[in-house]
Amino acid sequence: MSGSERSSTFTTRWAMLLVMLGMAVGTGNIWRFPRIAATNGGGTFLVPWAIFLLAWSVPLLLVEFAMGKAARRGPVGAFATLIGRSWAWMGAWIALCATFIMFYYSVVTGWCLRYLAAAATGELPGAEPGALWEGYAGSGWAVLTMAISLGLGVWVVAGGVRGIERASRVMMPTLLVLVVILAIRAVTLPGAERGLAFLFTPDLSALGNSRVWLEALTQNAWDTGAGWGLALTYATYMRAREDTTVNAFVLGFGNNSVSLLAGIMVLCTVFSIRPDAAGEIVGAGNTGLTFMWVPQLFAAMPAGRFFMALFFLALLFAAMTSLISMIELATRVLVDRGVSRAKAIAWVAAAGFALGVPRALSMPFFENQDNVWGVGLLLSGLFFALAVLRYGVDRFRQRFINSAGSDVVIGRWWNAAIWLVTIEAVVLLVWWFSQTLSEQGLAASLDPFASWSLGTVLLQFAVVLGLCLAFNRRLGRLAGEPETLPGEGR
Amino acid sequence: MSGAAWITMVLVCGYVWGGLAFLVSFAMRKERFKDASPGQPWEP
Repeated sequence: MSGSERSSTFTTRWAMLLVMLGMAVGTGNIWRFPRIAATNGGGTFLVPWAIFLLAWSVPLLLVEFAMGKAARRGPVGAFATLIGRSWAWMGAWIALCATFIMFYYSVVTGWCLRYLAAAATGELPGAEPGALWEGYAGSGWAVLTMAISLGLGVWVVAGGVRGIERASRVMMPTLLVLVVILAIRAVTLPGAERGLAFLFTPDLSALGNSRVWLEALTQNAWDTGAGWGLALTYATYMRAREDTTVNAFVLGFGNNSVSLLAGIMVLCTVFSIRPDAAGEIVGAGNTGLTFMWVPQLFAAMPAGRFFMALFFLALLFAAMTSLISMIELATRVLVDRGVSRAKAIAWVAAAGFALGVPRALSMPFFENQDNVWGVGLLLSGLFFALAVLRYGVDRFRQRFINSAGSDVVIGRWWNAAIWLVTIEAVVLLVWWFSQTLSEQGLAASLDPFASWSLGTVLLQFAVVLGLCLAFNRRLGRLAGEPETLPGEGR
Repeated sequence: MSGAAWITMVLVCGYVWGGLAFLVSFAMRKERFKDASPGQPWEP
């Protein structure tokens, strides 16, 4: 390995996988998966969820790994290099979507930090459930914790690949151990078997309900990070000899493994402590479940404060490792453009803070951005699939996925999977939009300033897509030459 | 828990966790080969 490769690539396969897993495992694994599984039939939901791991997540992760490793550029440069300069705008959309998410994800990471401190100092559980949340969310304190979280993430990214590796080597094993400890604690609580029964009892007739399938697909799309451009960014730092194929599978299965553990942890705790309020708890939304109900649940168990601190530490590590990947993506795009890494990090930090402030102070604006760019990620996944179709599915598979270094050969099933991903993305987008229309009515759904509406999504998408297309020619200049590896072209 | 719940739990956990264990052990074997033969280009 050359000196320059040593400093610009992951040191080992396992370090790379820990970093990638850190990108994938986020708050969605811990606070969204249990809720969505519980409100969509438990065991029934798990069937399509397991199917879409192979029908959405892994195929897209394979695309990202392959593109990042071949182009050695972030999303914009990768699209320009591998698909064509006129397609750079798609990479720009992917990069901007992830960056807009970073602006509010630092706020979320700050919440986790605040609650860890509250659990560790005994401030939680408070006498009044939800009192801490009511006084903190949307306040100047949320800006402070957002800034601290963003600062920590920027500090890690400033250390380059080595810095990101060092941070992941500490946070990811700790996170995994914590989740296992909490799951074991949960299943050993009296009455926990009710939670297991709730999570795993199937209702086969409900498999005919399209909503269950769409929710399972959406959960995979938002859970694994497949199609976000984050795996592509980290793949630019893979060693030349690094496997593409098995690593993508390990990442997908690793991410879903954590989700399953988290589902067991949360639902067993809920059904042990407050089985009477289970419906209310899982229907309380992500922040309601995590920041209002979780403290109460842990307060009612032996050594609850200790386990509550472990829970929020795990949540913080999950959020932080994902935030780091988003900061790195934005930095990488600027570096590809010719900006020095130090300057790029400074610009990302400044933008992250300036644009994080309104999201920290205004919960309606936060929710708007969470909703809009959550849907934007579905478009990102679609763009990856379209890029492969444009290049030629079989040609892409032969040249970039089954390249030298891959542990296994990916067969033609992947060609069909990419067509399936394309259809799934379109179906999901149409479903989300039609659901909004039917729930809100035409007039309300076209309000461009609502927290959630078709109008706000279309307006913001139009502005961002318009900018990407307007600057497409300049963005196309980020193209380079794809890396040629020995044995390429199998 | 009902029999159906037990079966679903075993199947889903086996698929996800068992799949992960299999993939990781497979990757470890391949990595040992690459480490043992650093000069040889790996052919899948």
